[in-house]
Amino acid sequence: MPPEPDDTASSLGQHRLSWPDFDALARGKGGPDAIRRLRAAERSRRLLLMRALVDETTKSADMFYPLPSPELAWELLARAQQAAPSSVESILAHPYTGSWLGYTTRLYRQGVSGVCPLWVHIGHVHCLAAAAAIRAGITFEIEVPVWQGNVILPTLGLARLNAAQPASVATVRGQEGIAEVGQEESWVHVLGADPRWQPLRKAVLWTKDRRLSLRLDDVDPYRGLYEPRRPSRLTAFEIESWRTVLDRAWQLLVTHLPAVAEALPEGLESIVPAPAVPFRLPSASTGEAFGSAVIAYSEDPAALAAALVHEFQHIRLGGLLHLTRLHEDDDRERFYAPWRDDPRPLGGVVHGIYAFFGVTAFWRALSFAEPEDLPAAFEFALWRVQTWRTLQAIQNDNALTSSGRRLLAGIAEELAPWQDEPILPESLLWANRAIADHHIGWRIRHLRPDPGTVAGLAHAWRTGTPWPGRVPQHRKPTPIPDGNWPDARTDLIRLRLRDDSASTLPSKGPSVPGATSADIAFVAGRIGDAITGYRRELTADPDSPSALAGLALALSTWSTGPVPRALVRHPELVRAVHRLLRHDADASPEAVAGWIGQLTF
Amino acid sequence: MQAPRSGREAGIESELLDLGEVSLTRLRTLDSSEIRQAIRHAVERVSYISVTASSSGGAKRVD
Repeated sequence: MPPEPDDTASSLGQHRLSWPDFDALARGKGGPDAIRRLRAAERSRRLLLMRALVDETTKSADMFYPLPSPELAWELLARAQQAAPSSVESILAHPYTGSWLGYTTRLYRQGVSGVCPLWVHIGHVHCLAAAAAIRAGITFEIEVPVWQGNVILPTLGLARLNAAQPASVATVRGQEGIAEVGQEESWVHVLGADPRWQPLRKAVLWTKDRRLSLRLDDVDPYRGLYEPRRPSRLTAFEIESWRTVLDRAWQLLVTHLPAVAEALPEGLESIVPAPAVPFRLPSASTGEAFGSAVIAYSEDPAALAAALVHEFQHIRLGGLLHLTRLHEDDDRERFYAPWRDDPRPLGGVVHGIYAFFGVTAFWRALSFAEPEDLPAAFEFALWRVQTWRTLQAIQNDNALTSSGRRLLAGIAEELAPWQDEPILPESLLWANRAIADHHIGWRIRHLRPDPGTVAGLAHAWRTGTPWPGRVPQHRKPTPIPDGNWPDARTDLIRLRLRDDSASTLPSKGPSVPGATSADIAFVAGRIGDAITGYRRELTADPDSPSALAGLALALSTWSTGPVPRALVRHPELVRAVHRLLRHDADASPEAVAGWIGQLTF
Repeated sequence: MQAPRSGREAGIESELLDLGEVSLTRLRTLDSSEIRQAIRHAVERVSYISVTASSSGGAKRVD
C-alpha cells in the first residue's frame, strides 16, 4: 500500500468509466482492461459493505456472540494485508465474499436470521480473515463459526468437524502457512491430506497462449443465488469430467471468439457445478458474486461454451450496474423474454438481451467456422431474432436511463447486421418454428384477454350475430401462468438437428421430458400425425397450452387461413372463448379459432 | 450519478468511492460525510442487485 497521508476520505475519488470503455462493453468488447475496471469498482463496493457490516454489528454482542467481535476479524485481515497484500486481494475478489456481504447486509438490516443463526452469517468475516491469514503465512489464532459441522475457509476449502450442535464455534490457528482448524481435541490440518479437509479443486485450461483458471466450488456456503447452501461435494470422476468438457469448451472460445476469450479470464474465476439436466443447460449468476456462475454439467462443449459466454455477459453487466443505473428501479413483470417462460421486469430483460447478444455472437462465429453445423446455425438463427426483437420491444421504454439507452444502442449496432446473414435453410426453418412456438405458449399462459370481450365473443358465437367490435390488444401480462409449458418441441428440434436426421426421433424423442407423440411427429415432419395427435390431446385437455401451440404450428405448415392465423396471433383469446363454449356442440378449439380468425382478418 | 449526454463527456462517474489505495487499517478509521454517504449508498443498493437464471423455479431472495 502507498503512503496514506490523512484520515479523511476527502482525497478519494469515485470510480469512473469512460464512454469509450462503456461503448466497448455495450458491443461485447472492451478486453481485459475494462473488466479490471469493473473488478476494481466491485472491490470498493465490497469494502464499503464490509466496513458497514463491522460498524453495525460490532455495536451489539447479540449479533456476533458467541464469536468475538467482527472487529477482531478486521484486524486480522489488516495484518494479513500488511504482510502479503495479495492474500486479502484474493479474499476480496472471491465471488462469494460479495454474495455473503449482500445476503448478510440484508439480514442485519432487517434484524432477521437466515438459514442459520445471524451470528453465523456475521461470523463469516472471521472465516475470511482466517483464509487471508493462512494465505499470508502469518501467525494467528481466530474463532470461526461452524455450520452443520463445516468450517469454510473461502478460496481454500472446507474442514469437517464432529460438531454436536448445528451451529458452534471452532478455532483456526496458523503459522507460516501451516494451519489447522478444530474444537477441543479434534483438529484438522488445512491444506493437508486429512480426509476431513476438502480442498477446493480447479480446472486450469490452456489453449494456444490463453489460460483460464476456474475454481470448481462445491463447498462455499454463499456460492448459491439466494440462500446459503450446504456442501455438495463432487467425486473425483465428476471433477475430471468437468475439466474435460471445460477444456473443450475453452478451445472453442479461444478459436472462435478470441476477443471474448481474452477478456473472460478477468471476469470468471469460479464455477458452481450443478447437476446435469436432460436436454438443457441451465445456468445462473448474481450481480453480487462478480466472477462466478452456477452452471449445470453438460457433455456438449459447444453448449457449455455458450453458457460460459452467457454468464460472462451477466458478470460484465452486473459489474457495470454497480457503476451506473441502466434503468429505474422497476420490478413490474411486464415483458415477454423469449429465454424465459415467465414475464420479466425491465432489468431482467436488459440482462437477458446482453447475455443472449453474447450467446448469439458465439453461435454466429461457430456456424461461420462450421458451415454445415446445423445445431450451431439453429442457435444463431434463434437467438439473433429473439434478442433483436426483445431489444426493439424495450429500447424506448420510459424506465430506461440514458445510459441504458446507450447500452442498447451499442448492442443494436452489432446485432442489426447479423439479422440478414445467410443461414442454413433447415436450421432457419426450425428456428422460426421454435420462435413462434415459445411466443404462442407464452401468450396462452400469461395474457388474460378482457373478460368483456371474451363474453361478447361467446355470445356472438352462440347467437350467430356479428361481432361488432375489434379484437383488442392484449393487456399487461400476469406472472402467474395459466397452464404448464414443457417446451419439449424445442428440445426435440435440437435433437433432430444434432443427429442430422428425423429418423432417430421415434427412439430418442420419448426421452425428452414432456414430449408427446404429437410433438415427435411434428418435429419428424409427419404433420398429419401431429395434427391428429394435438386434436386428441385437446380433446382430453382443452386448456393445454402446449397442445394448442402445437396445433397452431402444425396447421401453419399447411395453411395461412383463419384457423392457424387466430391460433398464432390470438391464442389466448381462442382458449378463453373456447372455455365458455366448450360444452356447446361444434365448438372445438379449431372451430372457435376459425371463427375468430375470420373476425380478425 | 452523472447522466450521459452527448458522448463527448469523460464518462460515467459512479457513486462508488474508489478505495483502491486505501488500506484496511485506514479504511476502518475513515470518518467523513463522504465515506458515510458512500457506505450508505452501497448498503441501500444491495436490495436492487439482480439474480439472473435460466428458469424461474426456485427460491426468492431475502429483500
